Amino acid sequence: MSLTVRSLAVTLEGRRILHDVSLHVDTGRTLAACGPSGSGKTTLLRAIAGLVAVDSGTVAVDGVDVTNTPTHRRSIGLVFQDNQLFPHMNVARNIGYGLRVLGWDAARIRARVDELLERVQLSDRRDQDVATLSGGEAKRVALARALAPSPRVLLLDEPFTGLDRPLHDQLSAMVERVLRDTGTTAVLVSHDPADVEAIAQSRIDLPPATNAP
Amino acid sequence: MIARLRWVGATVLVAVAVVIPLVGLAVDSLRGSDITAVWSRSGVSEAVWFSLGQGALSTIAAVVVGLAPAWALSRFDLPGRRVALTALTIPFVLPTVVVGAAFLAALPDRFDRSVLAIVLAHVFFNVSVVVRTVVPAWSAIDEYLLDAARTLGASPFTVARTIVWPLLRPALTGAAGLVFVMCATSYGVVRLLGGPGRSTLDVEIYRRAVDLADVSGATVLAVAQSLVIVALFAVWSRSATHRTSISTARRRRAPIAVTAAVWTLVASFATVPGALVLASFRSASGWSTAGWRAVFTGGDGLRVPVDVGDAIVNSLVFAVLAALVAVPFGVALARAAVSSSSRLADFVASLPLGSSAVVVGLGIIVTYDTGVFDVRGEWWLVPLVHAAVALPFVVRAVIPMVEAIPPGLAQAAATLGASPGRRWLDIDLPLLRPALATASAFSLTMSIGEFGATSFLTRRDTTTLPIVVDTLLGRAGSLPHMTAFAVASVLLVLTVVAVTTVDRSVRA
Repeated sequence: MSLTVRSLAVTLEGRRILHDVSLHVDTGRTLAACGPSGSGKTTLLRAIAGLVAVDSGTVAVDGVDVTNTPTHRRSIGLVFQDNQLFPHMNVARNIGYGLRVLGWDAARIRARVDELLERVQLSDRRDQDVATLSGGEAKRVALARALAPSPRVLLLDEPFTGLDRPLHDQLSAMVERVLRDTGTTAVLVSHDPADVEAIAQSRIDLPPATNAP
Repeated sequence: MIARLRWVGATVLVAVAVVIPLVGLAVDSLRGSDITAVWSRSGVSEAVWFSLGQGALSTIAAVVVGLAPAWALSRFDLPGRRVALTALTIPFVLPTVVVGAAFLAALPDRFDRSVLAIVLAHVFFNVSVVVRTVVPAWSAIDEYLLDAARTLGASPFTVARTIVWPLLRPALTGAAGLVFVMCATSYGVVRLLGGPGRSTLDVEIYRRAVDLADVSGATVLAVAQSLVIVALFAVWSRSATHRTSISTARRRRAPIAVTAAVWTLVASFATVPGALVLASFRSASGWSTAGWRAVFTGGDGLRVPVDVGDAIVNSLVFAVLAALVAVPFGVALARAAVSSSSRLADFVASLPLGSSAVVVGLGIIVTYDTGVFDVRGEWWLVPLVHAAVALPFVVRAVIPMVEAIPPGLAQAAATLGASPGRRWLDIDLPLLRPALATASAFSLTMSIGEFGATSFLTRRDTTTLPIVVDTLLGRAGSLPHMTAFAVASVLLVLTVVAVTTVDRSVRA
């Protein structure tokens, strides 16, 4: 599953956020998108996921143009910077959400959720209320939830910010291992060179924000 | 898409039930009557001054009485704090005729139909507005912030003046403005507790239109009244566009004196409905259940052209129908106002708030009186107007709850493959459940108690409980009054049941 973005341009509230951005990620590889604050890293991920409209340019998965495909039919997962865990569902139901949407039967969902819980080392948190999770645990649930339906591409938006150093390193190693084991094509947004070094095989740098209309 | 359609629906509702009648009134007033002549008619200028003077007096009294418990409940943890808070905020949702009847029952006869009775009833109603608005704002002021000022050398008075007051002012002026509008346009309370020379504009409009058959005079007053309210609301909404965060206050254990004072106030509040229920059993010659028997049997001695049993059924049916309209429309409007920061949605939702229910009622009978549009006697008009009157309150109650739902959740669901319909079902609907329940409670209680517009719209077979209370209190004799107090007690119970069951269903 490769991801190709060509000449992407996005304007939000009258401000040009992305201008002529192109990138390519080969199957099973991870690309890091770097750049200073305000350079549009998050917007790039949201455009790839179809959460913001693009002015011009294309997004293609495996050579098939998905620029006009609604988010829910793209099969592009996103780990949100602030996780966006569903507050009215427990850990297991959050992780299984994408599988229920796909119409999987309960036994299969259970098996898949257990597998992911084990992968992110949260098997003992299965039925816990998501409001009671620590920052690192919530991030791992968000990662497991995004991985569960085996998305064709996984997007990670600053997945390690706000975590203390030991946790950061542990989680970074976990993400690297999970992406490698599952052969997931991924785009990682980060401003930490160490993360980029550890997880990504290639990188692009977005230029600082301009005031061009 | 669904929300978009409902938003259009809400706009149509407000247009049909509020805007068109108001425009009809304005056109009518320009066509027929001489404005200066109306002003010089007896009772008109008195009504204007009484509205404003009594409104100012009531506002000052409500703010003064309300600030003390607001302070105590914000800063202290006292036994039964939640119960006290609920008891002090419940009067706001009580029907105006219930409060009016309760004060008739509670006060000695010589205070009936006096300014004192009106002001006391307004205080009873509006302390809840002050408590509701000020407690969250005051609780949000962190005690440590005040400590910081103290460590910088501020005396208690300086702390109050430079820290507490500026942080509290938006909430307090917002509350005071709202209380003033409510009191100046008070209708049900003044209809029941006022008397000759003690009419607000709203009461004067009704008196002109119905008692004196001077519809053109009432029309001119109604237009003037609407302009004044719109102006007041423009000022009010500008001062009240603040948001207070959820309380994280550190509360100290309350001294005995504070606890005692709060509970004394709560107890004195409880005597008001208590007096109402007692009065329903008290005839001229001693205790009697005649009033209650008349409620359920029709009571031959009443000599009023209304059937109380029918009125109970009507009130309940209208309340449910109004809620079925106001709740989805109100929640859709709130979502539109929050998500697209749409000024228009906010404006549509506020329109009924900027117009008194009495004026709306008059507008409808003046406007919809020709040809196929002559729907004045149609039964469905009543729940429709109730829905329009409840709409702004529903929207205002629901907006903070809708705002609390992170918009990213639906997007997260989309990245996991959920279609728009699925996102509505899985994410929006469950998270909106508390908002829907609150909206239902507001709509039900407002419809059950609605008196202003209803007093113009009901016919013999569409009469509602508030109308029955008013009709019976207008009759001489002990039996009609006992029956009125009994019916008002039924209304009281229905309202409290509606509020508490919906509240409980949310927590369950």
